Amino acid sequence: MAIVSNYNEQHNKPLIVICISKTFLHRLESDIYKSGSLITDVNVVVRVLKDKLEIEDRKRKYKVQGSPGKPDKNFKEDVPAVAKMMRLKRRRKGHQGDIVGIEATPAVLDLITKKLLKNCHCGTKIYDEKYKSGTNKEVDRDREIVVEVVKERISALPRDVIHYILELFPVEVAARTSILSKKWRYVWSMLPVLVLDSRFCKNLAVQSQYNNNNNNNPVKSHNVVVQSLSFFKQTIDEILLHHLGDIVKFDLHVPAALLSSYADVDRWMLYVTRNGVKKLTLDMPDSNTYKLPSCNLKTLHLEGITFEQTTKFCIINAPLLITLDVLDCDGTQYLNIVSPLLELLSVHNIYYLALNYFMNCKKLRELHLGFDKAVDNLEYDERSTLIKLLFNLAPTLERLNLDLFFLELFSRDTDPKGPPFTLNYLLNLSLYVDFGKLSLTSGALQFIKSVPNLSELEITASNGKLCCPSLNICNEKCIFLTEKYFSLLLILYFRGTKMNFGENMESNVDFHIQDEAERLLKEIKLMMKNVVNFELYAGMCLDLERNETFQQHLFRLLGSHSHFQVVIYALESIEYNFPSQFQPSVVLLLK
Amino acid sequence: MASSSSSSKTGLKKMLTLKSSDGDEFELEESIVIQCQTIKHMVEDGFSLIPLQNVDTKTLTKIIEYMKKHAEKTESNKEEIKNFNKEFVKGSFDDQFELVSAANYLHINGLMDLLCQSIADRINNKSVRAVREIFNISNDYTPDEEEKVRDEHKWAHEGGEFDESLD
Repeated sequence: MAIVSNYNEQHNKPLIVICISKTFLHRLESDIYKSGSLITDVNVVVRVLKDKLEIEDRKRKYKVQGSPGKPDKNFKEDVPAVAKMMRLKRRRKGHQGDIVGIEATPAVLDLITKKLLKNCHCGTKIYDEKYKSGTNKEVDRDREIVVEVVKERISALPRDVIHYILELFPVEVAARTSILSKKWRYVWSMLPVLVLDSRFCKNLAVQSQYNNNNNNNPVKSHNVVVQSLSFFKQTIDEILLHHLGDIVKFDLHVPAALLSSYADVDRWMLYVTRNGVKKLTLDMPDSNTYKLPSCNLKTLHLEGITFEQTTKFCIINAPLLITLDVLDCDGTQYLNIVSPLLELLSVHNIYYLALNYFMNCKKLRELHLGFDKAVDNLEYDERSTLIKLLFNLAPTLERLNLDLFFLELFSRDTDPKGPPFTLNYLLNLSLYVDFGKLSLTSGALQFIKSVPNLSELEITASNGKLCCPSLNICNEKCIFLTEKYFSLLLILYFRGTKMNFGENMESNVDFHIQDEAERLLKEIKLMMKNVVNFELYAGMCLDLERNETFQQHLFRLLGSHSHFQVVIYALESIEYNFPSQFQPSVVLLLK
Repeated sequence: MASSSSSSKTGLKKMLTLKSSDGDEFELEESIVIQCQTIKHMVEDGFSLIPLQNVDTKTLTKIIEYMKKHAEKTESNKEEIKNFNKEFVKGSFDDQFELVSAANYLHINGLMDLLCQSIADRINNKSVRAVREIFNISNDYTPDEEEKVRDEHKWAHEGGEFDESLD
């Protein structure tokens, strides 16, 4: 009797054919006795052949023999099919399974076939007909089993699609995929997303309890907690140990009981921070504070992190921290970073930062405060905090970058005498000015006046609410600030008005910009007596370029200096021609 | 002639032809087809007959059905689209995988999201055995190896009831 697979027409897919090896059969055999889970793991289609079939192979002779019963009309199709499959298999080395003819005892075959009947939905019908009809019962000599494996559907998908699907699963379902086959073993381990949320923790607790009950150990209620806790720790350790590659996103829910000791959480945090974590969510039970492991961290870059509200503030304890970047974070009002050694603080795109915390950073040299949204309801106590902070930082601050929001805060309630601080050590100032608002312009000028030793000034100007594009320009231009001379860099970025304002508003606004620009140029001219090196970056819109008064001011400004460089940053591809007297010193950069 | 550019309903619309791997051709309006990034890029490069070697006729028909429906998307028929999506993902796993492959190849993001979510939902709580069956994955672990791997993630295999059904 021979059992040979048949190409299953229903599937209409490329088939990889394997014959069951002796060891595989033993596995089948033992498995049938145990749980039977293996049979259905391969999509088995079994077919009975009734005549002798020989396929020559270089290494081995395959024999497929059938019963001498009634001639099977399918046989003729089957022979070439099997031969073809065999050849196919030989060509495609490296696929699972060996082509080995096997011999099996009738009992084993019976078991297999019974199992197949039960589990193999696609093979059942064919087998049923042939086997039950009793045509081949009398033959029990040479037996071979060929098992076909239909193309693995999901494995054929690209890795990123598989990851995408896995990410949609709860973590334990995703983890279970590693048992599917060897190919799948490390797929989950390499998934860059680990979400261990409260649901996961709850499952673990249930499991641990279940384990205890099964062990028949009557444990005291206290011990239950301890045990479930150690189970939790062990599991997280295991997960992290088995993980391969970066963990880009890590969510962890910390059960309340664990908080008696932070050592474990510390360890996990240390692990993920060393593995390129970009999105870290720590879900702490209420009313608890977690300090990130106090470590030798010197640079901390927090991007896209959400700090959640707790009754106490979230404290990051990094006493050696020198550089802190906070970018695109939420809930920063709950963030408290303690580092007396902090030298550089850079904040971008966050909604709120409690400036109070930085009052004691006596070594802060660089401060970048960038908000890209103008906030409407400014509070006055925040203004006083800012002033106080700058006052405190005055002895050390060398570089300051204030964005629109902070300048607005600063300009909100200006004192005619000027700000109460003098930033003696500040060498490099960068301001973002909205020339559409008078208070801001005067605030900026007042600020500049309180910096007596300024050597580099950078002003990014915008006519209206549109801030982001010009921020980029500002970043680009920082490269130019290499001169050691006292230099004044003015970036005038007059952006076209069409984006944010209605048609009828346009002319008014333009007029306003021109006005302000002229005024600013005038003011700056007064301040520029000591300027040696002057660079002007001006983004010109057409109207401004045609405006004669503006040009006059500009030329007066240019004419008063022997060393200067002009870079015209034109947005609407206009040509800007300077009178010949200026040309030797003009660098025209048209973008 | 002049009307073609001005009127949107009656005038000539730019048509594209999609050719499946079986050789069948489908003519569609450009506005519908540009939902998929791959074709959009080809259109930008000036192609009007687009051969899709990796997509057979059956799958392509489904995908066109999806794109047509989603091209009609407005504020008012959200509910209708939602129902359509629900019906759309009801096919067999085989069809779904064909669709995912095709959607991935064609870069139709909305469809990818829809299908992956649907696949994930459908096999969410299946037993390992059922998943192998559904995906046609042959288990090439020896029992010992399988036990070892199982031990590695013991926590994932315990607790809860697994669904053994295959649909």
